[in-house]
Amino acid sequence: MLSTPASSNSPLIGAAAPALLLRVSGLAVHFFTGDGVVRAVDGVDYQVRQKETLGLVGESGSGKTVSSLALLRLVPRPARVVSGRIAFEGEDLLAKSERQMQAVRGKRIAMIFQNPAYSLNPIYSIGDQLGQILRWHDKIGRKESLARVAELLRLVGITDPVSRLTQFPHELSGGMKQRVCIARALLCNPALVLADEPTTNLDVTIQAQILDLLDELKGRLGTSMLLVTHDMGVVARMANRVTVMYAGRICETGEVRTIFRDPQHPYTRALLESMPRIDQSYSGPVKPRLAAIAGRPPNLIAPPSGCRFHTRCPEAVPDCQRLLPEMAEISPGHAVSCLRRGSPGRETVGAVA
Amino acid sequence: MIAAMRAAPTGEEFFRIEGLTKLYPVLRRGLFRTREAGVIRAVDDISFSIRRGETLGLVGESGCGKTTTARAILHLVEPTSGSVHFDDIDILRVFREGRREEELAVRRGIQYVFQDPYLSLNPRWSVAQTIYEPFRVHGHVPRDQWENRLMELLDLVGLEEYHAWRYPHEFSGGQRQRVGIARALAVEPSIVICDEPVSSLDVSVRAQILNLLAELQESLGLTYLYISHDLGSVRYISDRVAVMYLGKIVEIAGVDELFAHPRHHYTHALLAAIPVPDPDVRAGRSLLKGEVPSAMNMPAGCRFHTRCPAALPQCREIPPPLVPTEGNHFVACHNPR
Repeated sequence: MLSTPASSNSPLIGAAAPALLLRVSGLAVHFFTGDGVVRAVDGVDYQVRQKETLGLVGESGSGKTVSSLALLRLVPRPARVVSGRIAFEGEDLLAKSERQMQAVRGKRIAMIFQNPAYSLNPIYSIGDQLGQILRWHDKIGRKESLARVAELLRLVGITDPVSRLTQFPHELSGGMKQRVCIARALLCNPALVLADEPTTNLDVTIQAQILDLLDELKGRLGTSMLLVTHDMGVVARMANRVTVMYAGRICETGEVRTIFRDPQHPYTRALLESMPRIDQSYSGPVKPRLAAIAGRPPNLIAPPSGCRFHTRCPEAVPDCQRLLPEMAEISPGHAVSCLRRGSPGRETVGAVA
Repeated sequence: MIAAMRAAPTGEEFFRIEGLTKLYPVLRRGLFRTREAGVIRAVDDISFSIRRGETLGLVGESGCGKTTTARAILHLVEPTSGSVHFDDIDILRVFREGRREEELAVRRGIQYVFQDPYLSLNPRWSVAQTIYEPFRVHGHVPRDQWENRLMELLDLVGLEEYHAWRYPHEFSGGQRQRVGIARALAVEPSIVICDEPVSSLDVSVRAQILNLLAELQESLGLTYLYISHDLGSVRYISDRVAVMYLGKIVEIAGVDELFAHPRHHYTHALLAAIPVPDPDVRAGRSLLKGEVPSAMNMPAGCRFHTRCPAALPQCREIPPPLVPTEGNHFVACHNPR
């Protein structure tokens, strides 16, 4: 039963050491468009440990969503995973056949999407579309599957779950739909949940309810989570560790406190400083200016040479135009890719493929 | 007191909204006739005023009526009742009676910056055409001055001269919003209604636009009505903040006072729900059970009583009026915090 994790069928729950669950290395996903090759994800590494939440942060176009979809091998055409390794539960997901992947999707890795209205099928009742997943993966009967769906709906805080089984998505509010999507993700007791901006479309008071719910479920079920978001507030609230992406590359990875207390990459710093905060006063005879980041995110068909952030970076030196910084650990568990922080650089000028 | 540190807004209350109401009838179509099945009280008898040179933030969740308020002010939707006074002109009357000359004067005085700059710019018009259109309509800039004025405006919003001949699709979101702002400023308005001006922009670009709005306010003495659900940007840009819930204003106060000492239980819960970029601050927590009731089935008495942690018996029957507490802090609650 879900409510008692010790007796759960997942072998991961109850494990003491925070062993590695997922290791992504050298992942590159490119979009082959008529205008050229968009290097949306261009050599990224990140890990998710058991029972932890990794916050994957970046702006739109940073590659955070594409690099998480790649885990399920769901990158949309014309994109293709061009290189990398995705080690999950001891297997390389990129080496699996499509058929083998079907046993992973929804079963070992489940997903919560940004817009619950689009990710639920409008013509099936809640019971039908969630029950179908169980019948597919666990080969159980209809009655049994509906009982399990009702149990999950209750777990995510939906009142009167049995009568909800026959309802359709349009009969539910946005917050309720997202609860249904969370229930759907947890149906098969997955080891990893990918949550892509799970609260971005919700009002703040409903967002707070959903964040509380995810927090509680994580504690109870011991599921790991990859939380993809642009909201530094949500990351601070939810994540154990944080990976910051910019223009298809990783800037910085570290424990959540390290990233917020001692950010090292100029982009991470700028991102944190540019956001107006509700717990800070901006009053005064002259309003203090926000520390804005100049310019705009680059075009990834022709990304800047060297460090991709150098065109907007306040600390850039001439070498940053030439050398692509590699991730380097600056203290245990805290890695940065910035020449100014001592990361090694790789020559890029003239080496563009 | 933190609120006292804020420079007192000096301007007179030149923009006054009284009893503004917008009701939408809900129609049920029968076989032979259509009957009114109910009414949605999108904006229900709200009043506030704005001083010259200040920014009033109007916040609330989706469906609370903040955008309808802005549209009703500009007569983009016809208000059911209420009045809007702008420099002692009853502008809703001007619109209703179709007095063209005065209508143009009012439209010059009040401009609107929209949420999505892509949808609010004509894709077939270059920036120059977009900016020339208000010059043409209002005739306040002599024709031989158009180009000079255009370049001044572009410079003002941080665009380059060569941008004048480009089209909306050639710009990034932030630049497009700059064009939207330049268009609003082209008629030299005294008040600009900004409806979620940074919500559709990338995080790294939002600060640029907020800084621009602050700069323009200081250099041109603009007044803003800033509408948003993003309380971080509201805290930054506003002098005073009004909080809406289900068509009603529940609280108005100076920005620092409101964020530090919210008196209404809804404001308190709203602020507590916002996650703060600091892992050691306990924020982003839910204090409210349930969801916003349907606007068609409005709770009697105080609209918030169904979710309020401090509701009293009278909250179910008597709608609380918006009354001053200390100073300029107004709250509509029978049992404030």
